[in-house]
Amino acid sequence: MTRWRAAFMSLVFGFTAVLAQAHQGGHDVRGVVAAVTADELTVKTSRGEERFALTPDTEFVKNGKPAAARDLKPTQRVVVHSRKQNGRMEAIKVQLGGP
Amino acid sequence: MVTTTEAEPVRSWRLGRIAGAALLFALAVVGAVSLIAAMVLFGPGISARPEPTAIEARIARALRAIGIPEPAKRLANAGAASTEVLASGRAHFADHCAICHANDGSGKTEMGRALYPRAPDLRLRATQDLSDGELFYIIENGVRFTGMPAWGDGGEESQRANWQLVTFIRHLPQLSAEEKLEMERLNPKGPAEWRELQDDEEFLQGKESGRPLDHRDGAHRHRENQP
Repeated sequence: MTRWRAAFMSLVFGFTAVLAQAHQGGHDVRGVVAAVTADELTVKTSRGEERFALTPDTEFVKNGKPAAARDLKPTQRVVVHSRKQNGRMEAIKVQLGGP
Repeated sequence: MVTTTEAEPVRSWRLGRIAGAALLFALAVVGAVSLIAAMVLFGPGISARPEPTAIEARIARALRAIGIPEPAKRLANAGAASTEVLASGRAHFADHCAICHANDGSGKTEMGRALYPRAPDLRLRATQDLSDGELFYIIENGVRFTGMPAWGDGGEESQRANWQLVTFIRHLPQLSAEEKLEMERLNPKGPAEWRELQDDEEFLQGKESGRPLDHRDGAHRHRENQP
């Protein structure tokens, strides 16, 4: 019985650890492009400006189709999905607004 | 002078001592190996946060290879890689697998990164070098002590769907950006996430969403307000 209890507790602890890790560092914003360089996007939100690192893995989407960093323009509306990685916020996906 | 009958007990006693010493030595070796393994595996407790060691990964892959029956390894994909089969496999993958493996098979998801062992990058050789039969067996039966569940029930329908997944996994290294976006539309979402996507779309089109963009703790993401 004790063995079963220990096994059950291990499962519970294991699952809790997975959930705790899953909550780490995700961050989404809506705002307008304040500045953009080859490796960084600055977005103006109601809380001020936020910077996101652009990486080779960052995905860009415009009107439901693949886009690129070069499509980003100042004052353009964007939705940025990011994750904390290597001590900075890395953009996972950037959705571009506009025609 | 020692006679043959007197020598027998002496020899037996010596053999017994040698056997006892060998047993003790074997036990010591097993104990030491177990201790080292326990220190490596459970040194940081049962936390899944540390990266699995190279030794663990190697042993786990070796055990997995041994654990898949030889006849299963030799099974060939029953379905041809048609456009329809690929589309079915892609949709199935987006619905069931992408939460851990990611739409592109990279394993870069919140769940995939947090599993122990981590969800593998299915585009790499460690997976692509497996035979079709091995991939099918893993999907159908899962892998013990990992996050990989058994998706099959042995039935014809599940086998057909899992062979389609094998076809799609072979296609992952060539996955296009358009296919990835299509998969994103197929990923499972709750009502709140659908609503947020709609709000995102309205915002991007220049409309002001009526719903505020507050923090979303329960959805593993945190949002900020637009200016």
